Amino acid sequence: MSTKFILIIFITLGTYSLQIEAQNPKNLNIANTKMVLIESGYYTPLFRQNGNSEKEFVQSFYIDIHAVTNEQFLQFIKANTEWTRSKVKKIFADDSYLKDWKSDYNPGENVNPSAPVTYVSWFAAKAYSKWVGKRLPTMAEWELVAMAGKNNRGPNKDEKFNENLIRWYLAELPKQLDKVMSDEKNYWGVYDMFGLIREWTFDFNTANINGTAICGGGSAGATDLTNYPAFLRYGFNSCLSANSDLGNLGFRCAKDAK
Amino acid sequence: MKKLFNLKIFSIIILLSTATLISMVMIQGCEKKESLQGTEFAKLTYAPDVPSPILRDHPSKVIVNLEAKQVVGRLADGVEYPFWTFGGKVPGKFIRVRVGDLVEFHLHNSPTSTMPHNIDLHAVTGPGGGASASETLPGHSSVFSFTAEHEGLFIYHCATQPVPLHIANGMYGLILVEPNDGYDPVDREFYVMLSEFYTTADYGTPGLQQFSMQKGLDENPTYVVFNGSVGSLTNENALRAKVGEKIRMFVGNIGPNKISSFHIIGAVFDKVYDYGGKNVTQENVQTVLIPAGGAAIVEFTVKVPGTYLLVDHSIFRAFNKGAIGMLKITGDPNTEMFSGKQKDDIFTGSQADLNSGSIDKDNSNVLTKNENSSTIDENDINAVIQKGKEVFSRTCIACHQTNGKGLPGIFPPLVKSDFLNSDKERAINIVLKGKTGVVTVNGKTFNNIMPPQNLSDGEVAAVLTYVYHSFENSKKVVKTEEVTKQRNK
Repeated sequence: MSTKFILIIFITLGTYSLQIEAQNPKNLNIANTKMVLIESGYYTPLFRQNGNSEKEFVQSFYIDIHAVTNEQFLQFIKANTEWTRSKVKKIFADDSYLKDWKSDYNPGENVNPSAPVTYVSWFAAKAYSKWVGKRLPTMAEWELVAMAGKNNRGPNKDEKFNENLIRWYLAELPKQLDKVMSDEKNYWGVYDMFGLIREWTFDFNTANINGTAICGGGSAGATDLTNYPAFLRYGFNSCLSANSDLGNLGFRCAKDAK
Repeated sequence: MKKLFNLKIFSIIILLSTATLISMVMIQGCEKKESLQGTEFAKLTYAPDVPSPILRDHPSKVIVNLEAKQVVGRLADGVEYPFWTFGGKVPGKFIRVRVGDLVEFHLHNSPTSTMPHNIDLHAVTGPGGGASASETLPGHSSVFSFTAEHEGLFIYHCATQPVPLHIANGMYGLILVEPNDGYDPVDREFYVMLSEFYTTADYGTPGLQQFSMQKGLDENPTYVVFNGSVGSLTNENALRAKVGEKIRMFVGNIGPNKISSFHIIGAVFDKVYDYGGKNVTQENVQTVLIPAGGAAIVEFTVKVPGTYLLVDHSIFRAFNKGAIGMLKITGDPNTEMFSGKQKDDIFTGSQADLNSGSIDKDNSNVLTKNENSSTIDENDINAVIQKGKEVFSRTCIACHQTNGKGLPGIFPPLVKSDFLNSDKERAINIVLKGKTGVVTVNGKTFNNIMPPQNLSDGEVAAVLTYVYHSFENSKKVVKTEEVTKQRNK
C-alpha cells in the first residue's frame, strides 16, 4: 500500500519535473540551432511543372547550419510528451519511430547524442520546427543550399562532384551515425547537406506530382537526365509517406528572412 | 403499323438469341479457363540452379517472397562491389511458376537498405510490371498479385529512380512461366545471367569499387560477367554434366546497355526459344542474340567429354572483361564425333611447296627488319627492359593482361609468380616452345595452352628480362645467348 503511494508521488514528481524542464528556456536554447542567411537565387527542379519556367526563383531565407541532433530532439520530446515513442499516434509516425532509442526519454548508448536524429516522421519534424519557432525548408530551398560547393554557390556540373554524391548515396547504412559538422562546411557555412543523412523537406511529396511516373519511365520530362543524385533524391522522396521513419532520414529547420 | 409491330418482335427475337449466344460463348470461355486450386510457396534458387519443374496439372495461387538487400560482395578476385540485390546475391533468385498461376508477390526491403526498391517483372501484364505497386521503403514489405498469363522466360528488375543505377548495381533476375504441360524433360537445367558493371577504376583493380556514372553513360562497361562476378562459372564453380545428357539453359541478359551474343565454344544449340518466348524458333544455332532486358532458352547435348567455354562472342568481353564460364562434361571419349589431335609435325614454311616464294621471303624480311630496328646494347638494362616492354605489350598482354595478372582460372598471373621466379630456363623454354597442360602458379592450378612465340632470341631475352623486372618479380636478367642455347638444345 505504502509502496504504491510512494510510486504515485514519484511519478507525479517526475511529470512535474518534466513540465518544469519544458518551461525552461535552456531546453529551447539547446534545441535552437545556429542559422545562416541564404541569399535568393535560382534553382532548376528535376521535373518542370506545367506552366512553370525551367528555373525557380527562391527568396532568401535562413537555414540551420546542421541537422537536428538526438540531444536536441530529446529536449523537444521532454517538452512535448505526446511525441514520445510510446504516446505518438500511428498516423503521425509508423512503428519505426525513434526505434534506435533505448526508451522514451533515453536515446541510450547506441546513439551518439550529437549525431542527427533519424527514424523521425515528417509530422514530428514539422512539430519540432514549430516548437523552436521555425519551419521545414521547402524542397527548392533545400536544393538551393545543397547545390553549393565548398567555394561556390553551384550548381556544380563537374563529374567529381556528382561521382562523390553517387558514391555516398550508394554507401551502406552505417551502424552508428557520425556527429553533425564532422565534414567541411559548404559555401554558405552549412554542414552535412550530403554524406550523413537525407532530410525531410516541407513539400517532399511534390515528387509525387508525377505520380507513378517517378518509377520506371519517370525520366521523361526531366530537365537534366544525367543528374543521378537528383533522381536518387526524387526517387527516395516519392516513396515516403508523412509518417515514414527511416534510419537515414532526419531534418533541419529553416526560417523566412524578414 | 402491323409491319412495325412485326419488326419490333423480330428485333426482340434477334436480340434475345444474340444474348443467348454470347452468354453461351462466355460460359464456354469460362469453362476453358482453368480454375485455381490450392496455395503454395514458390521455392526460389540462386544461380546457376533452377527450381524443379512444376508437376501440377492446374494453376494455383503461388506466394513469392523476395528480399531487396544491399551487400558488399566479390566482383572478381580481390575486387569488391557494393551490390544491390534481390535475395542477397547477383543475379537475383530464379522464380518458376506455371501459366495461369495467381502470383502473390511479397517484396521485402531490408531494414539495412538505404534506398527504396521495387520490382518490375516482364512477365506481368499491368502498369510498370508491378513497379509502383511494389515500391517499398527500407524496413517495409509490399504485396501485389498478378496472373501469369504469358508462358516464357522473363527478366525482372528494380525500377526505382534512377532506374539505370538500380539495374547497374545488380537488381535483376529471371522468372519462368511454364506452359500448361511443362517443358520436355531434360537431364540438367541451368540459370545463366549476363550483366555489366561500371566501375571508376580499371578492370581488375583490387579493393572496393565505386559505380562510374560516366562509363554507364558512355555504355562502356568495365566488367561483363556471367552470374554476377568474374569466375562465377569457372574451375570449381563450372557447370557440370555428363556426355549425352540433355541440357537446358535459361539465359538472361539485363545489359544494362549491351546486347549479348551467347555462344558455347564447341557446342551447337539443338533448339532455341528465341527471346525466351513460347515456341522453339530455331534449331542448330551457334550463337544466340539476347537483347538487354531479354532472355533465351537453349537446349543441347554434348557428346564429347571436355571443358566447354560459355562466352559472350563479342569476344573482347570474354577475354578482357570477364564474360567467360565453363561447362565441364565428363564421360567416355567419342573419337568418331571428335578425334582430338591426331598428328603434330614441324612446319617451318620453307618446307612446304604450297608456300613457296613470296610468303617465305616476306617472313624473312620481317624478321630481319625486327632484328635490325631493335639492335640494342644488352648491357644497357634499361634499354633491354624498354624493348621487352614493347614485345610484352604486343605479344603477351592478350592473355597475361597489361598488369600481368592474367585471368583468374584461365591464364596464369606473372605477378610475384613462384613458377616464373623458381626456374629461368623453364621460362625461356615455355616462351620458345610453348606449354600445354596443368601448371601450378602461386598455389592455383591452370590447364590451358600457351603457343610457341614467334620471337627472335633477343626479343625473348628482352621480354623475359622485362617480366622479371616488373610485377614484383625476382629481377633476373636473361641474355640472348641463354635463349640461343635453349633453342639449340
